[in-house]
Amino acid sequence: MESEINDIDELIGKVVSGEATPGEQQRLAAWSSLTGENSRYFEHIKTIFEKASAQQVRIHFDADAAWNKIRVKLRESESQKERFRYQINGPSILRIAAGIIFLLGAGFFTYQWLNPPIENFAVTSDRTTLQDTLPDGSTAFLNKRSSLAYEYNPREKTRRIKLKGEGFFEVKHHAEKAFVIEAQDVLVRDIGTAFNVKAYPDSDTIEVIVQTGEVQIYTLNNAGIHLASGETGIYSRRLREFSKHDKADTNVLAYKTGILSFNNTYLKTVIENVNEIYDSNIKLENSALASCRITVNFHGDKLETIIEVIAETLNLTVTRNKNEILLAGPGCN
Amino acid sequence: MELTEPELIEKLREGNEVAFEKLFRTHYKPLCTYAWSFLNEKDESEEVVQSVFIRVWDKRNTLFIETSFQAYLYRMVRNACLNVIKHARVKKEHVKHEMAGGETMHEGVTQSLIASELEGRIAEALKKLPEQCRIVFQLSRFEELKYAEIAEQLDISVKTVENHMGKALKLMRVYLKEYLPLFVILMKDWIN
Repeated sequence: MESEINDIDELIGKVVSGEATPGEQQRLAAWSSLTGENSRYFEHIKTIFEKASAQQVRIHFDADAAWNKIRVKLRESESQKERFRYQINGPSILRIAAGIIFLLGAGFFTYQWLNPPIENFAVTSDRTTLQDTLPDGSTAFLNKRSSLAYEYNPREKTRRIKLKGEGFFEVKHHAEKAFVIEAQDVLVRDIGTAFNVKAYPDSDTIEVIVQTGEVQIYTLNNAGIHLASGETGIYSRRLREFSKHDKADTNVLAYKTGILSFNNTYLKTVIENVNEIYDSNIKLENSALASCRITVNFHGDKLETIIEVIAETLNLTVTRNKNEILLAGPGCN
Repeated sequence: MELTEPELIEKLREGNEVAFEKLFRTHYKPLCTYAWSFLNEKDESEEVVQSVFIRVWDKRNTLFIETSFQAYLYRMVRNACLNVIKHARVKKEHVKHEMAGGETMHEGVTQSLIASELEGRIAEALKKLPEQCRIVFQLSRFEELKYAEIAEQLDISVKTVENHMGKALKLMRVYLKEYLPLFVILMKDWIN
């Protein structure tokens, strides 16, 4: 009975949304003429479907207001960038830039004419994290001070990403198109996955944490290791060695997930983690506090909430100064 | 002379704000409606679309468009919406966890916009639907997308779309059961 109802609902769905074949339309007509109840059932659903549209029409989106809002934001994001922008330097530069763009464009089309197109894409984060969709539909979430360049070459059938800094990737799997990340000296080959790569140029280690799926991490001279979900792989650039760790420190991903989880963790560590994620400057008034321990989870909470919870739990007082937030209290044994 | 869209995009790449504004005004409303199909929330939908445009502006130099600009925008909006939903899901689970047995919360945002009783009820019923069912329903009803298109956009099979749609309609009817007398009146109006 249950399954029959489901079938009918699917059939009605197809009919009202114009997806039904003539045969299916007939089948439904036959069903609804069977009993008065059937025909009312169909009419109800049809009415719901039709009436549902009215509410959408009533929602008014104001493009003028939105444009005014967005224009301000454009200026803001523009002035935040220290990157070179030709508009700033006056009309003659603009003309040259336009010329260069024209030449690049002409070159590009010639190139495209001679070669299959290569998809390119680049993005850089500065002081905040940043999420973007890559041309293949995969998503990348960059931590602060990171950048990536994406390239797909149809001839090699490889999606290649150059990563500087830290990023979390959710890869749209294409069996025939490989996905490889170059993180400094290490290569990460995805096998249908969500994973994090941490590779800041000034650090000795390159860290890969696999959230779901599996990856292979390797270098040009070293076949590397295979990582499954939940595992962490670390490559030391000095030792040129890979090592594998079972348990991932989930707080590593907090810059993306907003989830910080502490289990009997020293307050000092907690504060360090929070400061890093929130760009805050929380300080402990005295070193006796550093040895307090706390067990608590945060999920995308506001900084104020986090401070409140910590202060409440450990019975601390909070003082907000200009550039820092000071936690004070008697300390723990 | 009116510029064509590819010409506008070329100008956008050069940093021409007027061209950008034109593109913005052309696509803003349809994209908001599209985002709304996913999010069911007016302000959030607008925010998503605006941030997509800001991103387009920010990376205008490296803008790479495989198909049409419109398809490109829709894909960006769709991905952004799915991210918002994913994020909201995590948050919601947390809230549930925090206040076990607590009341469910309503965000009656579109409420004031809805005139008739029945339409209001339908809006509420939509919110009660399981997320995937609701999105499928709204994409079909409001964006008038084909099942195959919905399947592609959500990365699910056509069969699953059929399933979600059937389930959505069935549940909507259950939620709206008490208001069935209203339907009867409505249906009579149509017949006359």
